[in-house]
Amino acid sequence: MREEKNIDRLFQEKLKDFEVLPPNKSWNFIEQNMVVKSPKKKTAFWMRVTSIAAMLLAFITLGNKYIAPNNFSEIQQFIFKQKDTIKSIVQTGEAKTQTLLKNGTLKLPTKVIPLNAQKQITETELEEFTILEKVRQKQPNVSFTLKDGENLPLNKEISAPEFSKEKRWSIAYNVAPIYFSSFGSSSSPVNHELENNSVSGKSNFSHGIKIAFKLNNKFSVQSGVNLVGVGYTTNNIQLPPGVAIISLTDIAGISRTTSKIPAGSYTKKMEKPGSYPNSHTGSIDQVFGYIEIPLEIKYQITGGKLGVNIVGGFSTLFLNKNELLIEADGFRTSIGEASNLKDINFSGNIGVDVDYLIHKNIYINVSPMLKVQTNTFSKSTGDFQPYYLGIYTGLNFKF
Amino acid sequence: MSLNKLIKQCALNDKTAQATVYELYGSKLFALCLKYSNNKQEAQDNFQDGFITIFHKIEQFNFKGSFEGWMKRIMVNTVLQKYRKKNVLNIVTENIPDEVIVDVDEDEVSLDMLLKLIQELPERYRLVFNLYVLDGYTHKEISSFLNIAEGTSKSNLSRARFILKEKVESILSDQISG
Repeated sequence: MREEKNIDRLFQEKLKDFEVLPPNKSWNFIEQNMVVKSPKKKTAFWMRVTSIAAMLLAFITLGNKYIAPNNFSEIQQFIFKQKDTIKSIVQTGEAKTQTLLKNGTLKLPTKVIPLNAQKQITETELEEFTILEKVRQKQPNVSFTLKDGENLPLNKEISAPEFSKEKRWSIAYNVAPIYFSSFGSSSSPVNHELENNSVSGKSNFSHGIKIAFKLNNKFSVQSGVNLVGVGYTTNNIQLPPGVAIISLTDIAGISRTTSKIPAGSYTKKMEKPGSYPNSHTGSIDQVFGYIEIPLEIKYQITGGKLGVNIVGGFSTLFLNKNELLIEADGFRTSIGEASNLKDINFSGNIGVDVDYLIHKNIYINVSPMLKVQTNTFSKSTGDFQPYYLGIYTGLNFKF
Repeated sequence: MSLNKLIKQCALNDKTAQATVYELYGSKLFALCLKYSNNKQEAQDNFQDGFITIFHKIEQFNFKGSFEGWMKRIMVNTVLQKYRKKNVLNIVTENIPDEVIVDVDEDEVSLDMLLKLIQELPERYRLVFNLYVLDGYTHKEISSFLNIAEGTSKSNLSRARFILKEKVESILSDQISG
């Protein structure tokens, strides 16, 4: 019976449970494609794993060759040993056969033939071995792998420290001769009354421990502890005979000021050599030392076996030694300590730091540094601005 | 064996399990391909490619929805991917009414005839009619599947309905007159 019907409904109802058996050959096609594709996938995976393993092996082998070349000869020695063993086995075999033949207990045994054959093969193999080795010894890069390896950065000697890239810490013990001097006028800061006396720096000494931490490829931060001893000499001091220095305003704690002569008259005499009849000419040494704690940034210019860095930073210096000495006619006498030295002062540091690899993690470290001190003196009279130059030399251990 | 275990076995590339899945769902999926394709040969190609994809991706099935629905989506997607490759031109939107009524006696209409009519539709119309009417996708979904505007999807559907109506009526009138 005819009726008006929504076309969607017509199709939906008719096709609702619509099923058609697929052609028979379809399953075969699907099955075949499944079989082909799955092993392909697996092969690809295993090929990837194998190739990665092979590459690793090649790297390790090459690495061993270049880093520890003795290993190669060890392998050779091993091969030689094996050859000897094989030879002796073969010889023993021969001897046994001969014994058996002599005794006449056996007729020409069939085993002799394979043994001889084995011997021949072994000898040939051995000869091949020897030839191969000779070729290798003459031309070590004859094989493909090694030729390839030549182009690898692994080959370069500089690559050795690159393996220690992960080594971020380094600790160094340094010793440095120090030359102490001043930028300003060379007048003495000991006392304003000695302003006109010439001053010369004294060579001194610093030693300590330096610890650095590598922040990234270029920058490191370093600190440590140094014991610094510096000093300078105020020349041409006029000394009255038999008397110790009386009272320079900036000298404290003089225990041996026994003179009854008024202070003023003597200090005046000291300024002018020869003004006191029996006076001696001498010098005042001011010696002081610090515990230095630097905080510096290192910027790497070159790395590897020879590492060159620029260093900049500052140090905090804690006064731990302070002494004034008078030297005249070969005598040296402590006259107390200077009161014009600040207990804490600072220095700005700049220099170069050079590391040279000597063994595994150990480097020779040479670091010329210029350290300019600020507010060394609480009431400096002249414009004495001290600096010191040190060539810090020592051993550096990286880990 | 439960369906879930069967699916897991298929994921392990178990031949028997794969054959069982094929036995269970092959007819339904082949019918689906017949509707979406314009002839039996094309349907067979789509069916085979779709089934291979199903077995390759079966380990990705998360056991949450219907397995049959999941397989049907893969089949439809296989067909649509081929369609996208063909890059059929867009057809301009027309204003055609939503409902199309056909004057028909259902007993006179065979399933084979309806299937043939669907297959004869131009590709775009066939896909939209199948997706919207027979598999219940929305115009929004269809527009994203086929990378066309929603309006285009609606327009294509209307065109498909009219073509089908005309063909059904013409066949029926032929049958009466014949």
